[in-house]
Amino acid sequence: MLESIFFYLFGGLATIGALLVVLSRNPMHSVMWLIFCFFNAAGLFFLLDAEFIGIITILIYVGAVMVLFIFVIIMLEVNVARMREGFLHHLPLGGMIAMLVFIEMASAGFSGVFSAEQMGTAVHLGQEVNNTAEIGKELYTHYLLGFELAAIILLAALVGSVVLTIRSRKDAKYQNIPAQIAVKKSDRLRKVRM
Amino acid sequence: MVPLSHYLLIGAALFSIGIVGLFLNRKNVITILMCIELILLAVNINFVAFSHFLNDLGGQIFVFFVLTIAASEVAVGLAILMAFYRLRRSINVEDLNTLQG
Amino acid sequence: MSKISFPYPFPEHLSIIVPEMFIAVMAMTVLLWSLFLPKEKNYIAAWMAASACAAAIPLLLSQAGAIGLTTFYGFFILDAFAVYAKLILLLTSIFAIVMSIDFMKKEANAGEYYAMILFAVLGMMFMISAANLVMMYLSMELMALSVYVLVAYQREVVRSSEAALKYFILGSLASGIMLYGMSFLYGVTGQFDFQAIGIALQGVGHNGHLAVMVGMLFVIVGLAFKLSAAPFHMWTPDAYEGAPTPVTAFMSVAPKIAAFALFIRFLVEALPAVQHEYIPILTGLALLTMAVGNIAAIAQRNIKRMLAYSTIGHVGFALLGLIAANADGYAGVLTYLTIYLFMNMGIFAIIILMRGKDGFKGELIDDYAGMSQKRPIYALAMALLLLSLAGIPFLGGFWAKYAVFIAAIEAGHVVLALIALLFSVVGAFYYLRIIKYIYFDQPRGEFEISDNSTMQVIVTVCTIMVVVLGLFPGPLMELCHQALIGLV
Repeated sequence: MLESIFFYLFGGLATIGALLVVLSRNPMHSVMWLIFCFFNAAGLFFLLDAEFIGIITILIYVGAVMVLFIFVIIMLEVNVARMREGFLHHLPLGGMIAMLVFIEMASAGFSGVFSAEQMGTAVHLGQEVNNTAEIGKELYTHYLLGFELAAIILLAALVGSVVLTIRSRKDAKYQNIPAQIAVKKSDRLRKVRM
Repeated sequence: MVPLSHYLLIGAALFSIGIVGLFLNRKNVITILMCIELILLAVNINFVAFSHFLNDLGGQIFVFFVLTIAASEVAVGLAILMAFYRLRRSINVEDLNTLQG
Repeated sequence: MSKISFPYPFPEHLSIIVPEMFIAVMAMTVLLWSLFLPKEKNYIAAWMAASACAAAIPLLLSQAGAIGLTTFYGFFILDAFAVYAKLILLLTSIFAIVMSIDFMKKEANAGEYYAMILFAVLGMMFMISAANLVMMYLSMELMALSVYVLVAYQREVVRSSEAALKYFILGSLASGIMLYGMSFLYGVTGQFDFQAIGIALQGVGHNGHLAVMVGMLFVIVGLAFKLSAAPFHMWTPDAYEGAPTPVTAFMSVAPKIAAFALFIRFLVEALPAVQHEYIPILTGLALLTMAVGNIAAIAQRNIKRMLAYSTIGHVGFALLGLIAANADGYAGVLTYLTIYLFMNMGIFAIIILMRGKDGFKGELIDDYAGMSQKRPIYALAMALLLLSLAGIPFLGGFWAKYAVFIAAIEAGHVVLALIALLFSVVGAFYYLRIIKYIYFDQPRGEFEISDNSTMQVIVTVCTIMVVVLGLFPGPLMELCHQALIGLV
């Protein structure tokens, strides 16, 4: 009973948050509503016995990704007034597509495979089961190759985003590593006759 | 006891809101990126719900990967947006018009 | 310290993943080494990257004896099909890297550029060998993120960043949709492994029909996006036009090879149970793709844009091989991709050579007017490559189309093959139009072709390959059939 109440609370608030992300005029408000939405989704994850995922959703999403969004919005000085022009223009088409997608997915979700016999097995795990430890055991063994590949993706994304945004400023002093390596003794040392 | 289909319903709702947001916000690339985050959140809810009801940890580990990739995707996307903004001084979707086809 | 025992032993058959490990290490080496290279010595990074790809080929072939093995608990599979697909992928990458040398000569951060290409190659190699949904998603993302960065690489050019932004938005949307599909496949079967999904789907009755359909459809959307199959092709012309030309050459071939290989493996291993459902979807995709590619190309004035639509058209033809859904069809796709590699790489090498001193010359179709009078040998090479793309008999492109069309007819899709033939004739028009410009129009300016010897080698190799494969297609087709043993 309590679980149902919390489910409807978190689920409803997550949906409302998502709607407000889309409907907000100011992108900063959208970010705030998205954070709200993520907190509620994390609540849903806790209800599903996925503590680790719930925690990293809050830590990574709210703590890192959303802060990145906020920084970028501050840097870009978005023009709020122009934001809403032509908003209603696309509503019929967008709404129709969204409704179609929603109906299709909802009916897929209610279709037979996901019914009775599987729900029976969905007992909550006991308190002695440590979700994080269990994930760690699987992640570093069975999913090891995926983990390595994810590390490479992070490296590629890191290098890529630095390359796209780095700007060498004229007034700043930089180390010129190739020049430092290529330096010869004769460039720096001069014999002075005493 | 909350049935699986209700979780899937929330996933479907968030996914559809993300899609509708992509269509409505023709003005602002940042909001479009946020809509993509909503779509990924919907996927995560689905995976965690399936993982719980199938009693299989795989779904949660997949969500771990999705979170990792989503973070790097955001980093690259915002970097491209910054590069574009420096040239055009705008993040308006309608200013994406140099290339015509 | 207590001894921790895991249910999983140390992974076996690690040697089959050596080529990927080598490329990953070399990508990071290029990244670090380039820090110590002055700007004038950019080409050293390029040659390191190219030789990394070249050295991966013998490493790959040395594993050819280990056919059909998996490593990392079934996450990574190496079979003859994967070996062959990786072979043509590495060949494409070598061409693309060598083409970049001249282009990147004056750019800063060239080392990162080559490192990103190697990361993209790594992602594609994992795509070819992916044996479950986790690897499929991760490898596709590694490729996609690297290619987004490569498209945006010319930061001072507006259309480069704009193309990357469009590509990025649509690409992340497509991967979100694909993930949603994956979540449903996982929910129905409880498995990530392709083969386990395939077995589980056999057992799912009518009850799970809708959920399976949604899952399958959405995953196919994600793959179709990577293939730039219509209606998910919108990003292609923009990204092709905006990207630096060597990157366009790279992304017009390499991701297609990887995505087709992944698509084939996914269809064969995970979806045999729903073959009757996915074939109509693929047929619709193929028809639309052929129509969009071949008709929209006629109206283009920019040659890179035109080649983008040409790519879309060729993807539509190659999809016939997937619709045939038998060994002949899949072998036809491999043949198609091999010949397409040489045709496209040759054309792009000529386009890069045409680049004059003032920036973007050589991108409009008009720029090629009268080329035969000033540069007869380039004009001949270009004409042969274009005729081959058009599918004129006894050049390579003819046999590429022949292989997939025959497979489609054998599988009973006669009407579809006839429609494809019709589109092929329509498509020939816009290739022939460029040949008309080259041979029958008056030159409008000087051709400041930079006589770069490496590029000339690429053009020569590609043209000769197209002609030779046109005259002797037998060995290639036989090789592609051999590559499918064990998969189908």
